[in-house]
Formats: sequence, C-alpha cells, structure tokens
Amino acid sequence: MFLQEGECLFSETSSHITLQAKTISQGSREKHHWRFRFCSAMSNNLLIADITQPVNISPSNSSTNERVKLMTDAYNNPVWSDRDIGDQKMVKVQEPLLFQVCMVENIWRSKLSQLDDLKVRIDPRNQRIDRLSTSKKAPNAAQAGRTSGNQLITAMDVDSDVPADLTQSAPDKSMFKLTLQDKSGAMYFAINLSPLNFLKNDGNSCILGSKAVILPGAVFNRGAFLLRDNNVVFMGGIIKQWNDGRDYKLVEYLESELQSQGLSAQSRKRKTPAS
Amino acid sequence: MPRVVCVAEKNSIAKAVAGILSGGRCSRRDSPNKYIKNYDFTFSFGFSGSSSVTMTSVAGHLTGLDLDQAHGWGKCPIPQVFDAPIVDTRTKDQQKIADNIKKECRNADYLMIWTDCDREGEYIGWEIVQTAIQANQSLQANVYRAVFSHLESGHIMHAARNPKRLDQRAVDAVRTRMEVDLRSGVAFTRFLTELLGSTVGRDSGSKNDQRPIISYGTCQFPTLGFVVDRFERIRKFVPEKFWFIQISIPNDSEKTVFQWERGHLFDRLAVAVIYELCLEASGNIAKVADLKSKPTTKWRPLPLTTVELQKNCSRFLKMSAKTSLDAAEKLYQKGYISYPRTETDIFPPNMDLQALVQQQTNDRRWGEYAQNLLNGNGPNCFKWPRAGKNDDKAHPPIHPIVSCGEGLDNENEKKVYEYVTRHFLACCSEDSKGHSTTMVLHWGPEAFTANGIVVLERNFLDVYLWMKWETTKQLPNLNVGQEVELLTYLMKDGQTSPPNQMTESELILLMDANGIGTDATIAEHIEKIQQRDYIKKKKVNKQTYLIPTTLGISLVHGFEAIGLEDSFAKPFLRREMELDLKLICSGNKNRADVVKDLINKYQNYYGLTSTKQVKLIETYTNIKSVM
Repeated sequence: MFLQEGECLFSETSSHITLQAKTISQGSREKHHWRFRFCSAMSNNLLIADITQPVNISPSNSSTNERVKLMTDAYNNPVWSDRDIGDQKMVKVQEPLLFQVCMVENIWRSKLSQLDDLKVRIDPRNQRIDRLSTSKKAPNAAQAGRTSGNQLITAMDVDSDVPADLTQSAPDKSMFKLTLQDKSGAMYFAINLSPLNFLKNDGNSCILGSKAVILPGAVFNRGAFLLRDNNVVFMGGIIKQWNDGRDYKLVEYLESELQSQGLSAQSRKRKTPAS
Repeated sequence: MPRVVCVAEKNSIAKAVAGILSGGRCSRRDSPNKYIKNYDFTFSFGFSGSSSVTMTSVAGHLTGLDLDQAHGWGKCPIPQVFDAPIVDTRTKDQQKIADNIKKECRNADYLMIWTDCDREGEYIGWEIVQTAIQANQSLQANVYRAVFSHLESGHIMHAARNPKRLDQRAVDAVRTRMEVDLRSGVAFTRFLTELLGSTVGRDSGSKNDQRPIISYGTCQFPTLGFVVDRFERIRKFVPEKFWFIQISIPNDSEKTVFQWERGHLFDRLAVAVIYELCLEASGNIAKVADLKSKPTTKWRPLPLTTVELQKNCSRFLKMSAKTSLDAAEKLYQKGYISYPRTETDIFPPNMDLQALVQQQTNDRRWGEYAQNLLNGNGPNCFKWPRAGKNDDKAHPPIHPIVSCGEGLDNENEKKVYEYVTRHFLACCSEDSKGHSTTMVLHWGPEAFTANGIVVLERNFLDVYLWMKWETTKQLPNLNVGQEVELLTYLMKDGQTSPPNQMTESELILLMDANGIGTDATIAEHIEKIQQRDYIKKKKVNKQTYLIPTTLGISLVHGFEAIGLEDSFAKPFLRREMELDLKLICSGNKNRADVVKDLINKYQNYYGLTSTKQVKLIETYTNIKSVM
C-alpha cells in the first residue's frame, strides 16, 4: 500500500488514546490522597507529583540546577495544542514541554512473547520449557547454561550450526510507544526512533509517573512525538500508585489486547482445559 | 602361568579385543549363554607378566535393582516402597552370564574390566567384580580397569598395558540414580496405574481388557513436559499483526528489495508515523549510506558428539534418535567407528587424524575427496578440526576408524556410517569461503539493507552434502553517497504465525541442554513415552512431529493442578539430581546423603499427590472432553 491517504492511516490515533486513558484511570483516582502526603515544599516536588494537579514550586531553588530549571520552565510553558492532533503533520516543538509517563509499551516484540516473560517474572514456575530463548531480552540469558539453577533452556535453533552460546547479541533495536500526559491532562504518544537510556531493560527502567522534557526541535506527527536522545531529557520521578502491581496490570492489558486481536483474527477453537 | 580374566560389556567387544591382544591367535569356547563366548589366549600384562587370558563379556547390566518380594505390586501400601529393602536381581540370562563369570574366575589371579568407559560402564564393571568375588575372594585386590574408547589395535594395546582402577565414585553415582529412579518410579507408576489405568484402558478400547501401565520416570516426565509445553504454546497462540516498511530499487530488469533495519513493529500508528516521516523527508529518493564488502566464511562442523549425531540423523536422514544410536552402536561393535557415546567435541592433539582420512581414500563416494585433502594441492587441504568446548575426558568425538567399503548390508548402518564419515571429513577440511556485500540505503531517517553473497570456495560443503550455501543475486552497482530513485516504497503488514510442533531433533537438543537423560539414554526416553502412549508421531509433509496424546497432556496438567509441575513435568528436579550425581563423582557429596535427600523429596510429593489425586482424574476427564 502506498501512503496516499493520510487520513486513513491515522484515523485510529484518537481512539487509541482514549483506550489508554481508560487503562490508567484506575491509578488516577487514587492519586489525590497520596499527593498531599508527599507534596511538601521541595523544589523538585514536580518529580513526585501528578502534574495534572496543582503543584507548589518554590522559585528559590529553580535557578540552582540546570535540570531543575529546565523542568520548571517546561512545566510553566504553555502546553501542546491538543486540537485535531491526528491532522498535525510534522510539527516542530518550539519550547521545552514537560510530560509524565503514563504507560510504556514495547512495540518491537510481540505481545505473546512479552506475556511469557512477564509471567515467568511473576512466577518462574510458569515458564514454558519448549524453547531455547534466543531473545537477548530473556532475563539472564547470558548466564543461562547447562548448570544454572532454574534458568531454563526452552528452545533450540535446530538449523543453526553455531553453538547457541556463540551467537552474538544484536544491537538494541527495541522500540517503545510511550503514553505521555501534560499538566492539562492531555495525552499523546511518543515513539523512540533511537535507543533511549531510560527505556532500557525492556522498558522496565522507566518508572510510571516519571517526568520527561521534550526539547525544541523534536517532531510531532499525527499524535506522536518522535524521540531521539538529543531531543528528550529524562528527569526521573514517580507516581507511586501507578507502579503498584505494574507487572500484573501489564499482563491484564496484554491479555485483553490479545483477546480482542484473537477474536477478530479467528474464533478460538477450544476453551482452555481446567487448570 | 598366572591366569587373567577379562570382561567386556558386549561379546562383540570381547571378540575384537581378544583378536587384537592375541594377534588373531585365540581359541573360542561356548558359555552357558549362547550369545556370550569365552576367548582364550596368552598375553603379557604389566601387572602379571605372561599370562593365560580368558576374555569374556556381559550383555549390559549384570544385575538389576528391585524391591524385595514382600513389597511387590499389590503386596504393600505404596508409600512403603520408599524405604523397602532393595535387592539385586538377575534375569535368567543374567544368571547364566554371572555363572560363566564365576566359573572362569574361580581359579583366576587377576580380573580386568573392559566395559565401556562411561559412568554406566564403570557401574557394570563393579557388578562384574561383585559377581567374581562371590566365587573367588582373593580377586578383590587384583582388579584392573582398561581405559579405551575405540577398537583400533594400537589404542587397545595401549589400554592393556596401562590399566587403571575402577572409579568407585562413578559407581556410587550410578547406584544413587538407580535407587532413586527405582523407588520413585515404582511408587508413582503403581499409583498412577491404579488411579487411571482402568479408565484409560476403557477409553482407548484395548481389546484384551488389559489395564495399560501408566508409568512414571524421572526422565520420562520432563521429556513429555517439553512436548506438551510446545503443544500448549501452539494451542494458545494468537496471531498478532505487525507492520513494516519495505523499499526496492531497480537492478537490471529486476529489482532488489531492501529490508527495514527495525524489522517490523507491532504498532500500526508507529510505522505509519515513521513512513510519513521518510516520505516527507526524502520523497522517492534514497541514498546509499554504506557499502560493506567483506570475505565471509561458512564454518565446517564441530567434531561430532552423540547428541549432534542423533540430531543430524533425525534432521538430515529422517532417522529416529533410537534408530541412529542403535546403528552407531552396531558400527562401533563392528569396529567401523569410534565409541558413539561421547560429549567431547575436541580431538585430542596427539591423534593421527590424517591416517584416519587416509583410510577413506578408497571409498568410491568420498575417496577422491579424502585423497585431495591429503594431497594438499588446491585450496581444500587437510586442516586440524575446530575445537568445541566440551571434553568428557573419556572418549574422543565420533569418527570413522576404518573404511567399510561395501561391507555394510544394513541400510541404517550404511546411512549412519556415511554421515559419520562425511562429518569427519568435513571437520578435517577448510571452511567454505565466500564474499558478502551489504548495502545500506537511507530513506529519510530510516535505514534499509540488502545482502549479496558469492560463494568462492565450497571446500567442506563438497563432502557435507546436507548443508546449503548458495550464491545470491548481485546487488546493483552503486557507490556510497549516490542517490537512487526508489522503485517501490511500501508500508506492509503481516502477522505472526505459531511455532511448529516439536520435532525429535529439537527434543533431543532440549533434553541435552536441560540435562534430561544422557547422550546415551535420551533416545530411550523418547521411545518410552511413545510406548506408553503419552506422545504420538505425526507426519506432516516430509517432517515428523511429536504430538502429545490426551493422556500425556492430562498427566502434565494433572501434576500442575496438584502443584508439582516444577518437580515432575519440568526438568528442574532431574537437573538438580544430575548435579548431585556429578558432586558424588567429584567426591564432594556422598551417596547416602544424596539418596536420603532425594527420597525424602519424593515421599513428600507422593503425600501431596495422593491427597490431591482427584485432581488427576478431573484433569484427565476434562481434557478428554475437549480433545
């Protein structure tokens, strides 16, 4: 398909965002109580705040540290226009913008393989044993050997003539789709075009509710900011509740996504036997 | 003249060794067992001087382990089998063989063990010693052990002149495994058969009303687990859509397609956004960003191990693991190839490999190839094999000993011999050499690559027929920095597809990698779970897959429902045990502790299983209703 009908390609943008907003709304409801406990007079209380709520920033400290200054400025700048975002084509960011990370989705790996890893992390006994995971993403894959404890070899590449432990790991090609939120509550996607440090470890390094500043020059296209290491500054931070049971929430999300895919792709033949 | 009795693991080895040591001058006597012969000759050993020698053999194990009579099936509550007395038993054949050894040893001064040099062989050696001293106590201090790994005469002479002692730790390790396997196997086999046997028998419609045995084995279950896990992975598979960008440029009258360096993404929006970015930035023009041209090699295979042999015979020759290993055994017994049970993939530096290549120069299939290797004119001349990482210190990699010419009439042996020989010659050859070119195009901010390969020297590929490496179409003639108009630039989609069912070669590799079974027993375990009707072979096109049956699936899920999945259908427990056995071999643990520890575990599992036995029945009924 040649790209000729922009509208058709991007029509899903807004519905996607609605869907995601639903998935995190659970966390949002609980956040007020928590905010009052932690929002004291610290200068960088932005880091631990939900920026959609009023945040008290003391100006005295804002000049002492470049990063804090950048974050405070970004917070104070006008928010990105969320009008007709599906039609905003290749617009350049003009001023630093502050966002909080609501969700991190790996779009480079299949949901099934992510689910496998998550379930093993939640309970190692869940691990399927029928493959040697050649994925470098597998936890401790490098140390996996004949004798290591519960690290399993669960798939073998039968056609490879190179011993499994000699294959080199490829450069990191992981890509993520982040859901970002500004102080107005508006949500946007962001996609990393180059590897970003804060997304290491399969996106798990990026704590939910952490803050990031998108710098001038970054491109926004049809609902998504396109990030590279030179146009985004990761600030860290957290919104604690959003991270509670994160693995379980992610499992639920991936499963429901898969279910809707599966239903549309083909009707399931059998129900899972009792377990 | 002192009298020396030598005992090998099989008659064919006794015959071969006697032939070598006697220089062909030995006389043959019958024994009470018609397959076992006694060979008499004289030989001068270092420990005894010129001696009158009788070379005889056993046929595998000389004794078996069993519970005592009082604890037979149905005679005692099952939990008692965990600490019931264990007795050594002999079948009628074993008794005949034992009688022969006793008779020969009665007036012997020395006993020399010639069993295969692996852990199992060490234990069989110990069984022989126990039998011999029943007849002749004085032998106890005069036991030697020959260390050998193939039947080439120089090697056997060396083994005869440099005897060692039996390794008691290896014996202990085997005894430990046998005891644990026996107690756990008996307990759970009786339990499962009594619980499910009749139901399963009825469902399978067996004619003679015979209740099938539903056996448990410490290796059988994990083996089954691999197959069931794959089956479930496929059953629960959901195809996922993905999207990617693909561009192509003209190449003569055709086109060369360039693949996106990001592969594909599972998000349509992301790909669409990037696609538009490229289109906005570069229109239909791409630029050659990089052009790398470098020599490339296709590596010759590593020296051959048992697992590799079984895997490749399954993959290349469509032979089951058991068939190929059996054929290799026969070839070894006939003296054509080296000992086929080995983990070693490094040839010892003092081996005369060129002489072994020389042996093959008369074969009409690869004789010319072997001769060319040795002549050394031309690019493909003899080269010392690559070294792998494993050395079991007992046996070298599998290799042909002598040329078999047309001397084999068994089809399977012929095939395996051909594979072993071609593999060996490939090991001693040059890597295959070629030239690869990679072109990187930049379209907008994105990178796309295409590869071209020219094979320059085939080398080992000429003898290793199963491996393919072909010259591909050449890349268009462009230079770095040059701009090129795209022929097509597409955003495409596709969807993930489920993995294939398990093949036997994959199962072999998985078992090996996870420490289930040894190179020698892997084939038996796979065979056993087919006999028990836990899995079935199914042929699709040319490939044979292993599919679990209702019973097989139920057993795995049943134990999951009980909460014992990591001990039964997953390889963890077995692997722990294997580690313990290795610790016994290295002297870091003793047998009694390991046995106690493992039996304790199984007693606990048994307790849990019997309290929750209804789950096993439920699982079976449920799965039967949906299959």
